[in-house]
Amino acid sequence: MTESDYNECVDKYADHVFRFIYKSIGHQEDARDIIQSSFEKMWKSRNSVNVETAKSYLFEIAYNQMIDHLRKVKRIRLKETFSDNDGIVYQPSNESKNILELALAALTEVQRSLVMLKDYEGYSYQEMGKIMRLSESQVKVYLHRARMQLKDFIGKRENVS
Amino acid sequence: MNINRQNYEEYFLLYADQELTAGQRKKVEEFISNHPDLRQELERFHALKLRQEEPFPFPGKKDLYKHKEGAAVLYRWPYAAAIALLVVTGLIAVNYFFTPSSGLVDNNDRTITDTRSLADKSPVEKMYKEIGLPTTEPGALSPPGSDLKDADTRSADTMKIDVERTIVKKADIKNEGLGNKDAHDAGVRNTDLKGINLRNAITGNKSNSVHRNIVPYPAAKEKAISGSGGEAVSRADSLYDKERALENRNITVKAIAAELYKPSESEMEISAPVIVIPAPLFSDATPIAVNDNDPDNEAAGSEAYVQTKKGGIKSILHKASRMIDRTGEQLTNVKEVNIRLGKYEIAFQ
Repeated sequence: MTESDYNECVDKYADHVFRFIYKSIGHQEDARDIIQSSFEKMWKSRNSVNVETAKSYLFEIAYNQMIDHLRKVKRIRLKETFSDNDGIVYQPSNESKNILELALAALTEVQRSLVMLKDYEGYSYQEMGKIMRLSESQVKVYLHRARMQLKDFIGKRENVS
Repeated sequence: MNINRQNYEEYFLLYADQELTAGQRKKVEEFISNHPDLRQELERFHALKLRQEEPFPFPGKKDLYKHKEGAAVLYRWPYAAAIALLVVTGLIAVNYFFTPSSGLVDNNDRTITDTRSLADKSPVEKMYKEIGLPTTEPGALSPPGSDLKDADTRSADTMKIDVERTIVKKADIKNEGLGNKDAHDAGVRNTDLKGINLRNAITGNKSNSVHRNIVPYPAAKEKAISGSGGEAVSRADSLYDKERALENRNITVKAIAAELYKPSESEMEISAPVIVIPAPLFSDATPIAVNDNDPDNEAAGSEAYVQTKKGGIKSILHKASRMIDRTGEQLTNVKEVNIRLGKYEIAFQ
């Protein structure tokens, strides 16, 4: 990957990766840090990155960094439950306007990521498995469960309203 | 692929995610055609998919770019460093080759035209003129060591002329009818000064060139002054004579040093005080320079010499006053004597 290829990746994929991470963790600044470190990592290893697989590579880096970030946030939240101290707490985005986004926020991190990678980015099960380090059958099962949960969530909301 | 009412959800999800092949999709569509009540279920699975919404711009995108301008600067910095190195090297070279202390300055090309009249000349030059010594000629400013070269290359004939001049001058002074003591003192001084030339002419002492060239460098001056030897002191017969010779040496050395080296304003503030005796005081006395390191200088280690040396500024002032008293007795026509201490000048009447 050349410098121009890298800059082109920034043009093409930065917004997509940001949306994926931001909607996963619901915190803009943390998502921004993750994106910056992801692109920096890709720049450092640009000689071994193929242009055709650059997008998947970028999403894989970003997803792993997000997982690390969420683990860190969860540890902080666990400590807060004992100390009753207000600090950095991950909370799902309150900016979700529609029912689908509310349903999406109710999914697990893996399910949510699978849904977004599939619907927003159009990845195949195989590509999603590669990005999230899951087998194709795992992706299929997890995504199926996620869809069914979304269906149930939306169905319940519609019944309530 | 066998789709039925028990497993249709799986195939509907795969159909919505476009994970089915064309043949599998066709079978799903056939299943829907056969079961129209499930068409709404398939549309519901389609509705569960997230819609592509409005652009979701990343706010820090410009920080992600690796700018070509930055890369160009990165590539250019070795050239800038090389240019800076060349400039620094050039400055060092200029400083090295064109600084007098480097010894590489070509002073042979230096020529100074002396347009001054005798009255404008310095006391030391007047002294040289009066005693018949070859004074420093304009353009004689030479780099350190060139005087040594002159001495080495000096012809024997020129040396001989100096010796003859010395002898004649000494005889003239003795015949001037001075008192024995004064004649002896004058003889000592003149003989010593001339003796330098005599001895240097014989031994080839390089320091005799001080009478020919005024070397404009402190080190050379020091050498030239001290190179005159301690003959005056060593040839004195009595302790009194030695003291007087030492006094004359000190004052003369200071006078020569002051003449050779005129400090700037800033240097004058921190330099040692210098006494400059006007030329008339030496109208009949030749300046004497004594080398303390000369093995022939017997008085160098004597008690009188040590005592004289211990005085410092105080001693110099005391000696200057005594010198003025003595010379004032002889020079009745002199009404005023000026003593210059650094940038201060004191007038005595």
